[in-house]
Amino acid sequence: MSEDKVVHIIPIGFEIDRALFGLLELAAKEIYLLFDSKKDTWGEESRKFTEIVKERLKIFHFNTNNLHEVPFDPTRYRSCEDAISNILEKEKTANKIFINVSTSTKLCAIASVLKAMEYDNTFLYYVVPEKYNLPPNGNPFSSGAKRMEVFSPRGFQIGDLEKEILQTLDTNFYKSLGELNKVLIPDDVSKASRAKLSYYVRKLQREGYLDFIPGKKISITSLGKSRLHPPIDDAKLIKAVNV
Amino acid sequence: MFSHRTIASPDAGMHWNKLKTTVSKEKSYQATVAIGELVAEDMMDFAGLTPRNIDRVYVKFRDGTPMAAGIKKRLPHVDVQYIVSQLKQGEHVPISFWGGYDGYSNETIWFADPINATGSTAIESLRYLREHFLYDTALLSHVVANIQGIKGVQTTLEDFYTNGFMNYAYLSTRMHPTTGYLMDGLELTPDLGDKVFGTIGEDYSIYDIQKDIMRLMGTQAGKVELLKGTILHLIQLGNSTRYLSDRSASWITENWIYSALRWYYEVEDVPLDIIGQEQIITVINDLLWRDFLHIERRPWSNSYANVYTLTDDGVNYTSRVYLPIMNESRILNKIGKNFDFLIHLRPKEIEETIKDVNTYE
Repeated sequence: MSEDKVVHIIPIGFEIDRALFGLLELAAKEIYLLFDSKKDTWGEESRKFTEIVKERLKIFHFNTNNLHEVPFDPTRYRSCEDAISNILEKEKTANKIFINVSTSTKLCAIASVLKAMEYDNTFLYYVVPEKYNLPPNGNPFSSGAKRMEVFSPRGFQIGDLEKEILQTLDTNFYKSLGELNKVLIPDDVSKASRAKLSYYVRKLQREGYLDFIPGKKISITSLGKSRLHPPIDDAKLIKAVNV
Repeated sequence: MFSHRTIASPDAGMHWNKLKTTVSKEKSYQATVAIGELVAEDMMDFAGLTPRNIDRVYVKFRDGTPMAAGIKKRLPHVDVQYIVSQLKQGEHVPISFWGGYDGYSNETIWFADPINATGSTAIESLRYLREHFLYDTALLSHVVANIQGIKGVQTTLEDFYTNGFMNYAYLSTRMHPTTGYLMDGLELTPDLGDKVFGTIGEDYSIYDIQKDIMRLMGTQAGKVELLKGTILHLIQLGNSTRYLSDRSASWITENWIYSALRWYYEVEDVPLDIIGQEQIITVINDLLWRDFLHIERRPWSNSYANVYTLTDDGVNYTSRVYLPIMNESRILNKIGKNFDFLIHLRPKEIEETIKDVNTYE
């Protein structure tokens, strides 16, 4: 373990002070700035804040050799998870890793929390600002509700057969293990094959990915769907809010 | 005339039972050494001798070693000499001294041969000794003596006058008419040499041991043998190197064995005779008693779990005797096919899958 190596992971959103505060309070030897690389309004706006944060770091005389810029998409859960995972794995011998969960999207914060649980050297921090800047004219930050994404807070390694079961159920539901067996493993329609499916179906049911009523119903749940298709926040950004 | 008796000590029965039922070469050896000590002590009393009357014991080469070690423990001053008996040629068993005759003589001679079935080796050995020097008193000690072998010794040696005393730990009454092996003698490995040295199949062929078990097929006893073989094989597979380092693999407990057996019976139609968990525990206890298994108590929940592994002798016997029989009964293939799936399931999960496939299509 690198005794004095303190690493910070800062996903940059639309903020400056909350991105920098943790570095000053906790010190840092290595900094990973996660910036939104999308070529859209979200990305463009966010990158402006990234540049400001970098300028500030120069003012603080932070050694830029230890500053890493990591592109990611904060609106896609899988992208957040991958970016955080790669850094945690790379820095697993560091003394401490701090992840700032007060900036960027909530999807990014959730991915940070769930991944941090897998590493003993990783901690989270939340910076409380002095003030929030509300959208003008008393408008809410968002409007309308498009859909819902459900998460499981438990790490669950999914095997090939379990993934195939979820994929098969993504488009259809089946009444029985026998029916599922015929579709999933047509070459081996046997009692043993059904017994194996029973185990994997029950395992997925325990994790909340499936609904299983023996002899009546096997169907995928919202959680199962989000496992197959990791959450994406694809809400539109309306720059001038004048509702 | 030869007088004979079962060793008076109650320990003799205990040691004989261990020797009879175990597959462990260590325990077989230990039990035979213990019987050797007891025959020595008993013979002094039976023949009215003191240790000073005895300065040498002849023992049968190879098989007689552990018994001689026991006699020597009780009578440390005696010399131990081997007598080599070769395979029976017609009615005659060729006998010779190991290393030739050394000119020794004594009024009392003592021959120890663990198994006296027909009496041939004892008779031929006493005659052979008589050809080299005269003696007044002959002592014979055995781990087990068959009634027919005793009669043989008593009647065949009438042509020369001898005081004779014979003692043994167990009196056998049943002998195989063609092989000459005792039918109420050693179990699992019928030959003492094979048993104490762990050389199963060297003297009594594996083929004959398998044939004895195969003869039971179709009977309740045969079904129990298949059950034993399957349990041993499950434990053997579960403790293979592949799963020893696999932390997601189940412990091989009574519950797991019972559920796995039920799975093979209910799902794969493996022809096993499974009545209930108590019956499986009885079979496991029998395998433990016979030293096929080793038990380890691991802390689990608020109590302990009994986790089973095969002993080295258990592995040897299972591989050489049971697996070929199970292969012939087409059980082996079915066990192997789904083992990797079952070893990763807990007993409760195995039971759930059985219920699911038995209740719904």
